Amino acid sequence: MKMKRKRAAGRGRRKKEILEKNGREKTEKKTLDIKVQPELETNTEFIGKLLGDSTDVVTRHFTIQYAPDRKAAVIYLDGMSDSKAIDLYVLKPLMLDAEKIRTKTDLWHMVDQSLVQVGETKVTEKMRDMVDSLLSGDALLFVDGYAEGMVINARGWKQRGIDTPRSENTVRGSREGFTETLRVNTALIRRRLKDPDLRLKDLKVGERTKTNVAILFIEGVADEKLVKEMQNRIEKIKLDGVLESGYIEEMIQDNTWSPFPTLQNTERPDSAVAHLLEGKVVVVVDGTPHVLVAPAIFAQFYFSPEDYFERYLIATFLRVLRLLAFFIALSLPALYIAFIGFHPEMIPSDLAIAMAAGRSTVPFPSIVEALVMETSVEILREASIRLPGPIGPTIGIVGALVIGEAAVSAGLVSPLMVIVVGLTTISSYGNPSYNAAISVRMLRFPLMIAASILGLYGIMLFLMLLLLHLIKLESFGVPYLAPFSPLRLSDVKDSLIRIPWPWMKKRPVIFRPEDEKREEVEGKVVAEGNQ
Amino acid sequence: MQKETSRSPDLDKISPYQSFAILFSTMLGVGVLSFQREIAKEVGPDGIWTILVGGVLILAEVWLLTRVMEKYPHKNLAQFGEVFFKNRPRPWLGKLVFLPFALLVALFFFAASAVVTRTFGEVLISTVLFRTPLEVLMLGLLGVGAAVAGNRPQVIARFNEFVFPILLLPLPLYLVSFLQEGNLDNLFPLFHLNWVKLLKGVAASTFAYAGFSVIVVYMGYYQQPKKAVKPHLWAIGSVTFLYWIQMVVAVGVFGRAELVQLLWPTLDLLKVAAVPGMILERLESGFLAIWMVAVFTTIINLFGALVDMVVTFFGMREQHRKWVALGLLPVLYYVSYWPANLNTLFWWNKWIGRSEPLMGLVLILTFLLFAMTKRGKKGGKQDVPSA
Amino acid sequence: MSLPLKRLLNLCVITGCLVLMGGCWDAREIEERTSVAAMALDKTGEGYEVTVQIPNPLKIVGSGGSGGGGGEGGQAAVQLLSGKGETFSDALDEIQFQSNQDLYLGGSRLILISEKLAKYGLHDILDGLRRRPEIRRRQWPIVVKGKAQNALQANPKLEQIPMEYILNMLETGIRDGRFVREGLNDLYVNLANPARQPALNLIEVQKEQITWIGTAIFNKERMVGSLNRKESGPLLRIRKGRSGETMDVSCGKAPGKVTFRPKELEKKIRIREAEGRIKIRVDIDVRGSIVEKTCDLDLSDEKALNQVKRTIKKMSDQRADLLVEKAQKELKTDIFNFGDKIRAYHPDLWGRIDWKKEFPRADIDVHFNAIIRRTGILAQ
Repeated sequence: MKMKRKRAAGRGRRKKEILEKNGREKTEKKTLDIKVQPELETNTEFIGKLLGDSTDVVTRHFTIQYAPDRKAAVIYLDGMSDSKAIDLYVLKPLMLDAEKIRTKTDLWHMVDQSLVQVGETKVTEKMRDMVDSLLSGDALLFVDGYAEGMVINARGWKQRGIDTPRSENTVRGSREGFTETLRVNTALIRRRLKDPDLRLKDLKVGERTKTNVAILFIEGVADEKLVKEMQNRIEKIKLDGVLESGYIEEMIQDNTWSPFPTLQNTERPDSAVAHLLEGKVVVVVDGTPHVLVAPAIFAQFYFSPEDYFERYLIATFLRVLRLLAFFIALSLPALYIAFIGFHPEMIPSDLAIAMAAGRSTVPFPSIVEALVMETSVEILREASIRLPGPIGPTIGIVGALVIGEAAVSAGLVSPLMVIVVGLTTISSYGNPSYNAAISVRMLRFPLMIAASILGLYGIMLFLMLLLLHLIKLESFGVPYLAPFSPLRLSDVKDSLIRIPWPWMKKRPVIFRPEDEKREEVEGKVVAEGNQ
Repeated sequence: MQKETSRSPDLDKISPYQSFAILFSTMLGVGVLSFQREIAKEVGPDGIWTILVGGVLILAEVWLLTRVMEKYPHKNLAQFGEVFFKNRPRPWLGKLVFLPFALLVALFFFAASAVVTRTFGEVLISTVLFRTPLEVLMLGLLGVGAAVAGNRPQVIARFNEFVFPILLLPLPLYLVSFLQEGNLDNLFPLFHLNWVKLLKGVAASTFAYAGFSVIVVYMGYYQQPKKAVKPHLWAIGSVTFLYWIQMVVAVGVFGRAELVQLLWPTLDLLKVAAVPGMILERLESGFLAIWMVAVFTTIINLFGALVDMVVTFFGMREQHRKWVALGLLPVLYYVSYWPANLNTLFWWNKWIGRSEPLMGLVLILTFLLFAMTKRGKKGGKQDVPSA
Repeated sequence: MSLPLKRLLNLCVITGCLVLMGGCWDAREIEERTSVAAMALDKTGEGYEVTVQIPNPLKIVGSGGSGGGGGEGGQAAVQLLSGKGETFSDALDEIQFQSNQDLYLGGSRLILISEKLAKYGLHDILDGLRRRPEIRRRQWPIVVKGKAQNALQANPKLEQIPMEYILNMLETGIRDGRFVREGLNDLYVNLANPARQPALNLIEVQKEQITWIGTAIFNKERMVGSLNRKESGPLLRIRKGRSGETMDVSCGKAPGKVTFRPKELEKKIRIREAEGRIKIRVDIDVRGSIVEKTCDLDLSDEKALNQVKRTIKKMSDQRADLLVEKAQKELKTDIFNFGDKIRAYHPDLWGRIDWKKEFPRADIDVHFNAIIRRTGILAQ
């Protein structure tokens, strides 16, 4: 609740907008909450008007040769629906086969029972449902004289195939990544987790985009309260559009002000399944390959899926390495400033002379030097992401080498600063997750400023504040710094170190799984089934 | 247990390990830098065992205090009055009777955190940051301290828990400096003192152990108050061990005659140690940065205990906690700015160290007394702990 | 509505202020400090003269700078500044008035003390050093014959910064066990401890030549004399259990010499009081190897080896006796720090006697025992 209160405060400034929107929405609702009329023309005209006679709306009027002839219409969105399937399995039977059927049965019943040869159909009288389905790519069928319409699943838009995950590269492991289609994504998970306890809950978010969102969890493993909390939070979202899981992440996260992400995202089905097995909840959002994972702890952002694929020694070594990279990325420039400006006695004498020589031509204090360099590297990095594919790396190298070298020889920057910036930048890539890496990169700047005021002492003060923040931070009721604070010794087995799989017999307790044991899942299922 | 948040109930309490961390890092404070000098001044090399005697005495006292406190689980000192006078017609009477004790302890926490802050400021200004105003150093520390102290004790406990391993980092450095520069001759002669000197030596070592009384507040939030004895004794034991190592190293490296001349012997120890590899040449500043964590935890624990006493005594709401901390900040700052020079400061340090064991005794006796009268009147009726 | 905005603004303002203010306090960029590499202390009349050697970073090779390029070495790469004053701080102030940046003593690794100053007494000047937190405790104080300033003016060619030459020479010697290992910390400790006496390395400086010539002996803060190279060997062995330099001993009857290099020592000191005198017996086992032989002795022969051992022992004992005599009669100083053993292990005795008076008449007996481990890579 506490977190919600906070979020409510954050949303306060949008209150007015939402009110306005609600007003408009209501009028819209009124017009939509009608029933399907028996007159065909009314229905088709209504939908046509509703969609503003958009050019992608295909309305096909035809006649069903069934005594007596009846007018009918199929409506679908061009590009969203599979027009060939509609032709073959809807239009063709209705137009050609209807007359062959000579029974006394009601036409509408026949249409439903035998004429429309599509697996998933739904008969409804609510216009709202029909419009929603139409916009999702279904085809609508109206027959004159019946106050009901049929929703026919003919969804078939062009979609990207399954590709390698771009943001989480691993040397070893599955090459499959999520795509933009919700169903494909849930299928990718289901295929890896053939557990009858895997649950999917579908929700729709976004007043206008009506984005499909699925909450995935394993019943009997994931904490029930956690699932409920997640569902609550998502249901409370009031946004007109949800185009990416990031929208949802920001709406349901625990702390709006924190620089640290409290939800993890992944592009890999295998790691999503691993999270599910730990008792976490996965949220798949239609339209993005990035699925959300909650709760998330700090340490988790430094895990790579590969940690579990490679042997435990390698994994442990890599994790220690990443911790080191984290500290370098966070504090190296700040330490540079502190050492140069406050504690030169800590630098070995020979190096100190070299540093003094390198800095003697630099016209700025070290803080300015560091800020300028770090900022330009950040710009460079940002730019190289935006640059068209093949040019990116080239420009990166040109920027780093040429500008750096020129700056040094012009005496604008000391050579050591270039080394510091280079190391920092490389280290920040040591973090497997992109969003956590960015937060570290951001925190580097205030730390540098703190160092320029009080040296190491300033660094420590800032780190204390940061630590306080991290300690207070929670993600869906799980302390962010777990398993270190509060210390859960049983969970340290998969934190900085990773012990071999045979010994990982229990799920991490910090996520409060309902079933702590990793083994004997089968036995439990059977037992439940027998009951 | 219908909680608003989905936080698990054990997170709302202080775990045994956290209680260990709290006690450990509270005691490990400013004393670390200069206790060797105070002890060496009184008893010379014998300090390497009088510090152990001091530790054992404190251990005994903490044991007693813990045993008495654990009879009233989930209550801190400020709420004790209510416990003893629970069934009386006027509950505020209990508060009133207990006010002097609460005030005494609060005053101690207050004075101790002020002195710790000032001492830290003095160390920084006399060794690393010569030109930075003392005000800035102290305000920086107190400001961040208030930000932490204005949180629930559970958060403070988690802070201690996380930071605890950092406090052990300098330990290898001490050993290195002893191996490089230590001289066994300096550790002798041992057992060369009379009773008066021994008492003085032990009294001097109590200063190093200052801060153990924070448990009277934090014990109110323990998950298992009945199991508090073990972590408490471990904490005191570890601190004693750490101090013993530092004492041995300081005496071994400097000898008594040099040791009594040094203002901050521990810092000078680090100046002597040469770290193999020479990535960093002199480590005083680095050590001070780490040691700042130790001082910081001492301050937040004392400060946090003070804030918690105020909040619980007046039955304030949880949101007001940070305002209490903020309100105390200027007063604390003003008081810590008070001592004119280092001599006065050391005098204060000494008296805070000496008064704490006494205060602990007074508390133990009072609790026992109240418990006895209560048992006499109620016929041994057990008090039901209210959540 | 504008609460978050306000918060952000406040944050910016505060940060801005802090950044601006920070510069006024302790931030001194590394190039804004005149970093002293070595100090020379001289006695002049009533006061002191302090000379500092400051390396010029830009002239030192490999440090880059604009254009990089070759640097210069020797005196061209450093600047000497000196100031006179009644006190150490006074003299430093005078240097500060000649310096373009703030004087910073934290980088100093060598303190050169002139013989004159050492003989006058170190106490006053050391107080000035001890009170400054930035002064390292791990640096080498050494006594220079003549003016200490000269040592900083010397121009050895092998190192870029002249003081590094002395520093490296010292550190090498100490590592090999040839010089006394007495840093500033040891000096402080030895001065403070009533039962110990300092001893510092002594060097002599010519224009391009710097020579270690022995050990300066102090009676508390005053230098009372010096030991030469040959005398320093036994001192090192008895005082600190260091190996000292090699020893040439005669081959016995045959002409020629055998050179013995001590490597490890095991020292045992026994102290007792008898007939109103302190009796000190020192037993030292010296393990080492033969590194040279100029006579036709067969070292593979156990007998011959024993004979060499005996000769080494005899000679070591002799030299030690000479040194003890010198300490007792001439220097009247407990250069071996036996006093500390008495203080530590015989506290009652220490309380009863006045060691300063007792030392010259103490009965000191030093016995060496040579053990030859190896004879080089020759079989004979």
